[in-house]
Amino acid sequence: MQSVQSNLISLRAVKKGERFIVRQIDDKDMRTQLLRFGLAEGSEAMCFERLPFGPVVVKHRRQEVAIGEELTKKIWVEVIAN
Amino acid sequence: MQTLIIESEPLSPSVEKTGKKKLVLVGNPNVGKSLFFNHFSGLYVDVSNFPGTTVEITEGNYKNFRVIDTPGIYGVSSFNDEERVARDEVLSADIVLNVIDATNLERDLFLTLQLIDMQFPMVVALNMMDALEEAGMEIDVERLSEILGVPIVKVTAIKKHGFDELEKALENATVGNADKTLLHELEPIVARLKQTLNPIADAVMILEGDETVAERHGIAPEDKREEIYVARRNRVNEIVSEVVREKSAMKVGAVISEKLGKWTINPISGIPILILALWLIYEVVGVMVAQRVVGHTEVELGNKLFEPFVKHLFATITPVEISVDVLNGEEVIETKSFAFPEGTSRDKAQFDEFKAFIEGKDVMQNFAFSQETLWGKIVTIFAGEFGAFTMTVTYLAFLLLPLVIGFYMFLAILEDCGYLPRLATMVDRLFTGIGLNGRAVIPIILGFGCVTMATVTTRLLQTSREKTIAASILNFAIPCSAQLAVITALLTKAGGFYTLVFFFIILSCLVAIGTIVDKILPGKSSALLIDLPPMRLPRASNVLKKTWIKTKSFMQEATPWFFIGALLISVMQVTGLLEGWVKLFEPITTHWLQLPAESARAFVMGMVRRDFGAAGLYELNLTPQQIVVSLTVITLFVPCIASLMVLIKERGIREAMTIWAGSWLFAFSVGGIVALII
Ligand SMILES: Nc1nc2c(ncn2[C@@H]2O[C@H](COP(=O)(O)OP(=O)(O)OP(=O)(O)O)[C@@H](O)[C@H]2O)c(=O)[nH]1
Ligand SMILES: [Mg+2]
Repeated sequence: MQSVQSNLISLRAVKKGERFIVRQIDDKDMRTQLLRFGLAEGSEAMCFERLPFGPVVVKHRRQEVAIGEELTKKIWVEVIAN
Repeated sequence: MQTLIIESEPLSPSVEKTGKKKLVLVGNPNVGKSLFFNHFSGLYVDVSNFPGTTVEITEGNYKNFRVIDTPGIYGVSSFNDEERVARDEVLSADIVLNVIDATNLERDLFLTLQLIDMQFPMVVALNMMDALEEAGMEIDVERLSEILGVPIVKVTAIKKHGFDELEKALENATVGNADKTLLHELEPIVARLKQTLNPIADAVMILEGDETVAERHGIAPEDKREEIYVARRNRVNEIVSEVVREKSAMKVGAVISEKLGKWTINPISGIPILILALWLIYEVVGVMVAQRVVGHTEVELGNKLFEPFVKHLFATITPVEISVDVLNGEEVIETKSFAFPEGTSRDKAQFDEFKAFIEGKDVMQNFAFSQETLWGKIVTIFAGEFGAFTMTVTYLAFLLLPLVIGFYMFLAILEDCGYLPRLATMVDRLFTGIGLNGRAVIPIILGFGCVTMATVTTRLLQTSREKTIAASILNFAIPCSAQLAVITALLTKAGGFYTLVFFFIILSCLVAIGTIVDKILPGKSSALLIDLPPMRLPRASNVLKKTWIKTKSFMQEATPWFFIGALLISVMQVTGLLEGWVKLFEPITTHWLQLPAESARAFVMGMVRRDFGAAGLYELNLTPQQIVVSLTVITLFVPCIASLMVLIKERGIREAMTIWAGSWLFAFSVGGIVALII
């Protein structure tokens, strides 16, 4: 487990409608895959929908991406004011 | 190491072999590549609104090009099967046609820049211009083309706008403006390559750490992937902020589509929507088509018109006894037998009497051909109870065809509207319980169309582990459209309560199989990561075309098997083997499953094809409980021969035979338990 800055929360914990900046992705393969998607470290997105026990749907520009629970735990974000 | 390389590098330019240039369609998933392919080649490959429709390479011809359709990819690399398949096609391209989604430049340009870095002669098709307008956005295409250094053509593929310009642009395909620093780093690698079609492209792959390509050239891969990707990502972001402009708010259409999409994901609204969709399918296919249409075609056209017509042809010269049931609705009001010991043509008087008797009446004619001579036996094989000419045609054309058309149409609508990836999201949590992620809902739903095709679609799953689990579920527990058709028809006879019971049984089996395979296999499954395309109104032309193509290929594939199946069972009948088989199975059928002994016949038929077996059950007179038991057995029964072949090809002989043999055991065990309980 890599260390995480204190102002960061996992994507799992982001509330519906909140905007955030992706700061850290813990898995190397995932990091490269998300770089291609456009959800790299440093990119801004919004929590479009979240299921009670399940994926988080992130909206990034016009693109919606569903991210499974396991994965959301590895993505650390900084919530920003709307 | 060099001597160990078995895979030969794709060297000789394809032009030399065929005189035709290889034009490869490359792009992110779901951007419209297959639609372009269909336009250029005049062929039809599946076009659907979910990422991962295309999982195989298809080749066609267009002018002096060989056009290649590839699976959608987010970059040229080897992360999964789809990427590996696409990678080799891209690397051997003469010209690349990069299709990008105008509303998603930030995502799509990443691949575009990679292709440019690889120095392919290329053209960019900026597709979905209509959706861009709807989204209220604008792209400075000239500026984009200037930055990239390649021709860009605006296209709206669904309206066929822009294809003419695109065809012209293909003649001016150019190599774009690659990243200078990257090109510099490539030089030493290029110098070490073996002969290859696109040395720079191979070198980019090696620099990005692609093991397969490096091995082909006998050199070690570098580890610059992340560094290069970050630089590329930054360049994309710069370009996007320069050329994309928000012009106005989203149009009403786009807003509605977004809202609707949201409702389908959230379980509170999503579950009712799912139930509504299932109910609609049941009402239309199950009630309307299965009861009204099939009730008419199967009995009126098949049993009363077509079969007697064929049988009378044989009867002219074959000893036969025809017994006639006069019907009033469902009820038999009179029965009379006519014997023709030398065939109907030799006994004019008797035949005239027969004709006068049936004149103007609603009758069902039952033919019993004498089996004393060899000829009589042959006639029975072709036109008897299970006659290859009679039963095959009735089952296929009058029973299955209308139902299969209905199912395929609904599937095509589901595939086209963008619902499937959202359903995948909603059910993700449930699927993780059986070692899959939500994405697996796509092959499983397609399995209700055709298990054989769906087994191929399991390729869109990430790991081999998930593919095995999904393939097992498909081949154990998912009835294909034709089978489902008969099941629905039988269930409507059994009633609503028993329909639910049956549903519950099959669902439990599905979960049980998933759980067991998940427990047995080592390793861990991957988490969901899926693009959600916008919800769109299904296009009538695409839905009809797809229904037609799928139905046609179902008929083409099923006909020979049904014919063989009918031959097999008829031969067994005239040789007495069938009776032996029925006897042999009696302990299982009558005691263990509490079914009539003749149901053993359906299992012979089911080995050839499950839908054929299900159709065999349709002819028996079963109580509602027996319907549930027999349908459970036939649903869980062995995959059809065609599926088995694909299963062997996709998952290997060991896995395939395990599934096949396991099905016997599983089907009869579960069937017996159900018989005990209900
Ligand atoms: N609105 C709009 N939709 C389009 C356009 N072109 C394609 N589509 C739709 O986009 C979806 C995807 O089309 P496909 O041709 O299957 O895309 P693909 O790139 O082959 O997808 P994969 O095989 O999954 O990689 C379909 O639902 C098309 O109807 C367009 O110009 N405008
Ligand atoms: Mg495709």
